[in-house]
Parts: sequence; structure tokens; C-alpha cells
Amino acid sequence: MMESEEFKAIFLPLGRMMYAEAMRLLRSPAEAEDAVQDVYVRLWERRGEFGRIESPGAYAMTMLRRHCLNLITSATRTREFAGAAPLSESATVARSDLHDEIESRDRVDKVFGVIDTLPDNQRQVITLHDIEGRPNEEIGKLTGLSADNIRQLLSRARKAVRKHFIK
Amino acid sequence: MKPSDIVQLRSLLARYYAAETTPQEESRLRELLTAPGLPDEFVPDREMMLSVEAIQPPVGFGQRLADRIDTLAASSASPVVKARRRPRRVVLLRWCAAAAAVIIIAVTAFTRVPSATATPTPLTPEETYEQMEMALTLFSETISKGYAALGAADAIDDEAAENYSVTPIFDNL
Repeated sequence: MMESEEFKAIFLPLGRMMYAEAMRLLRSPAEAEDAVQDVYVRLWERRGEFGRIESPGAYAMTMLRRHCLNLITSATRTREFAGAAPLSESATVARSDLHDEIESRDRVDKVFGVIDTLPDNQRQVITLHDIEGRPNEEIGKLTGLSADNIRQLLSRARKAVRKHFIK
Repeated sequence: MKPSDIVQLRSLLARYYAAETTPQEESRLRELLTAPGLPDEFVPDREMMLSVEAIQPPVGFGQRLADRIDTLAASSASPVVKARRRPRRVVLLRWCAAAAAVIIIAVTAFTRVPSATATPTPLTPEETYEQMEMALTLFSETISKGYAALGAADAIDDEAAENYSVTPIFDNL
């Protein structure tokens, strides 16, 4: 059976990617981190099955997406049932944290909105580099792009994103 | 902000937008962009950098995950819980039980007199036949819906099994 060191070696490198996906779906840092932690617990509970899984990364991401969608569905149901205000206002955070939470959500909404408008190759590179924090060598292996291509696409993507922040 | 800082800021921004900065340079760039007295021309750069940072994992995120795994490992003296599928027969039985409950409620609602003060009106054989037909139609529709839901679940199940070569995890997610 898989032990903790082996488990860490496989799944810890996926943490940033999972967090980015959770942020894309939940738009809240606290909720995204909780969701990723929940999925790690479930992955750990199922570690006995990993010998038969071809792609642990895809498995973990699928599990994370389902978990996030369940959270969104249950949050929506709760709000509908209670007739409450939008999620950011009904979240059980302290008032002092509420402003930061809303500001963070606005920023996340904006940057994801901008990144989604980029051409596919630019969006892929800026996501891998600036959001998931992967080094250029790893991006090259994942995408098959040369170091020069990666730099060029990242440069174009950053300049394009900046344009949306000029008021 | 000192003029020398502004010169450095311009230089770092040029390198940042050319995708040539090192992590250390980006750290310095963040420091300069969040310093008090930032000229207006750099505000879009600051907003952009803070927005991208808002999507990145918070400080200590990786360590917290590692700690969580260590805690799980320490407390997992008990055997691993394997994903277990609910037998199909149990699912079908539940649907049947739900359908039967719906029929009982429907028949009761249609045949019972709601108020003690109301004058009881006995049903004619034709009315009784209509009520029974309605209840059986409802039963039939409920069973059909149950089978449709089972079919959809099976399709998703098969797809997941093909993708991962393991028993999927619907039951617990």
C-alpha cells in the first residue's frame, strides 16, 4: 500500500494546479484551499486503489472538480432555501475579513475573465507559469514548446492582460 | 518613491513584460509596486500583479498540505476504506419503495374525505376506476423515471471506469 512519502511525491506537485482550478470554480481563496484539502483527504483514503490508476493527476482533478461543483450546488441550495443574499455576503467570515474576501473575489473574477479571452496558447502558458507557478522547463515538457516560444507567448499574454487594467 | 526606485521599477517592468524576470526580480518588482507613493502610471501594473497573485496559492499552502498528509498517515492505523458501490438491486428497491409510497399517498389523497364535517360521497365504480387508473399511471411514470436515472448513472459510471480503470466514486462524492 502507498505510504505517505510516495503519496506526497505523486500528489503534492499537483497542489498548485488543483488550487488554481478550485479558484476558477469557487472564486474564494479560503474555499479553494478547503476544497483542495478535502480532496487530499479523499485521495488518501483511496490510496489503496492507485495501483490501477493510469493518471493520478487526471483522477485528482476530476475528483476536485466534482467536489467543487457539489459545493457550489449545495451553497446555491442553501441560499435559495434561506432566501439569503449572494455568497460573498452570506459567508461566515468576520466583518473585517469580508472586505478582503469581496475584493479578492473581484480581482479573481477580473483576471480569470481576462485570461479567458486570450488565444489558447497564450492562456495555457500564462496559466502554467504565472498561476500554477511551473518553471519554463516543465512547461516545455508539457506543451512541447521551446523556451523562446514560451517566453514570447508569456510576454504577449502579460501585455494583453495589462491592457485590461488600464482605466 | 525615490527617483532611483522609479528607474529600477521601469527597468524591472520592461523585463517582466518581456517575460525575462527571475523570481528574485519579480519579488523586488512586487515590493516596488506596493510601496507607498506609487506614481499613477504604474497603477495598472500593480493591479495586474495583485490580481494574478490573488489566484496563486497563499503562503504556506504546500506545507499545510504536506502537514495534512502527515496527520492522515499518523492517524491511519485503521485499514484503508475502499470505495464501495451501492448494489444495483438496492438502488432499484429504493426506487420501488419510493414509487409505492407515492401511490399510497396519491390513492389516500384521492379517496379519503378531507373533513369530518363534509358529507361523505361514495365513489361510483367509474370514479373508482378513474382514480385507480390515475394512480397506476403515476406508478408507471415513477418507475420509468427511476430506470432512466439508473441508465444515466450507468452511462457515467462506465465512462469513469474507462477513464480510470477503477471503480468510480459517485457514491461518496
